[in-house]
Amino acid sequence: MSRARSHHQGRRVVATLSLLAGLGLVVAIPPIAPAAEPPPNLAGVWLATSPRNAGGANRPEPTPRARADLEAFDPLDDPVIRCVMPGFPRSGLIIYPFEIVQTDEMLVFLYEAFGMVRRIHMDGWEPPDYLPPARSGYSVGHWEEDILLINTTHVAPGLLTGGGLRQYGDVEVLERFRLRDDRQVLEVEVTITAPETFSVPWVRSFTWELDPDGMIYESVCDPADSRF
Amino acid sequence: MRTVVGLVLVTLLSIAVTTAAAHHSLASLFDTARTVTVTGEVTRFEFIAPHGYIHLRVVDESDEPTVWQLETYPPGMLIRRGLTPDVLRPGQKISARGYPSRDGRPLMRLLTITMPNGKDRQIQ
Repeated sequence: MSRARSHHQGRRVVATLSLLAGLGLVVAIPPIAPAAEPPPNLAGVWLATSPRNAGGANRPEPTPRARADLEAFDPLDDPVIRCVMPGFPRSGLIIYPFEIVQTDEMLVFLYEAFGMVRRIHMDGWEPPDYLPPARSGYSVGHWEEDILLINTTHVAPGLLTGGGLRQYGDVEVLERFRLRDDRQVLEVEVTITAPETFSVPWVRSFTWELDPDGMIYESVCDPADSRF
Repeated sequence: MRTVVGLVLVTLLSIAVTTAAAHHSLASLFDTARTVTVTGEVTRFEFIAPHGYIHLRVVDESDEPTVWQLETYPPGMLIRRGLTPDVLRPGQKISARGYPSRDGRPLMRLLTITMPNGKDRQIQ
C-alpha cells in the first residue's frame, strides 16, 4: 500500500469516528481490568517442622463427658492399632508429610499417613442436604488475600488425640494457611470447635517446610502386623 | 567364641519430651520416662507401615538369646532418615536405644541406633 493511500484511509477512519461520535453511536470502551493476582502456590511436598504435640498446652478443659471418656480410654482400643485411619483433624496434625496438589477449583491434600486424602473445594461447592459423616470430613476453602481458609465439617465421631480425647461428630475445623519465607515455610492455625468436647475452641499452630525434591510414599497397614 | 555380646542397659535417665511420633499413643504403650539400650545382631528388618520393626538378637551374660523388636517409623520416614533395608541388613551388629514397652516384652520404641561403623544415627 502506498504511503499516500494509507494516509487517505486514515483520514477516512477519523472522519467516520467523528460522524459516529456526533450521532452518539460510539460506545466508550472500558479500560482493560488488570489481571487478578493468582493465589499463592501451595503445591508441593511439605515436611513437618513443629512437634506433634504443638499447641497441646492450649487444650481447653474437656467437658465432663469428654473427661469421663478420656479417663476410661484404653490405648489398645485405639482404632489405629487395627489400621483404621485416624481421620481429620487427628491425621492432619501429626508429623508425617503431605503433598498439596493445587488447581483453581480444588486443592487436594495427600497425606502419607494412612493415605488420607482431603479434597478442598474452592469453587463454591455446597454440601448437599445429606452427607454421610466421613473420617476426613468435607472441606470448602477460599482465599482472603494471601491466606487460605478451609472449613471442614461432617467429620465422623472419633479420637481427637491418641491419648483418648474424643469428638462426638459435632467437630468443625477452621484452618488458616499462609506461606512465608519465600514459599519455603507453610504455617497453619487450626481452630477446632467441638462443643461436646470443649466449651471453647482449641487453637493449635503448626509449620511445615517445603521439600522441593520430596515425594509421598505409599503407606499400607496390615492389622496382622500390629504388636499390640 | 560368642560372636555377639549382648548388653542390656536400663538407664533411668529422664528423657526430654521429643517430637515423638507414632500412630498410637506413644506414652501409653511405651515408658517414655526411661530408655533401654540393647546390642546385638540384626536378624530381620520389617520395612512396613505404620511402624517398621528391626529384630535384634541379643545375648545376655548367661548366654541366653532374646530377640528384641525395635519399633520405628514407617518406610517413608525411614527413607528420609537414610535407614533402609539396603543399609541395615541381617547379620550386622548394632546398638539401639529406645523407650521400653510398658508390658515388659523385649520391645522398644527406637530413638537412636549405633550403626556397624560405630556412628550414631538419631531416628526419632
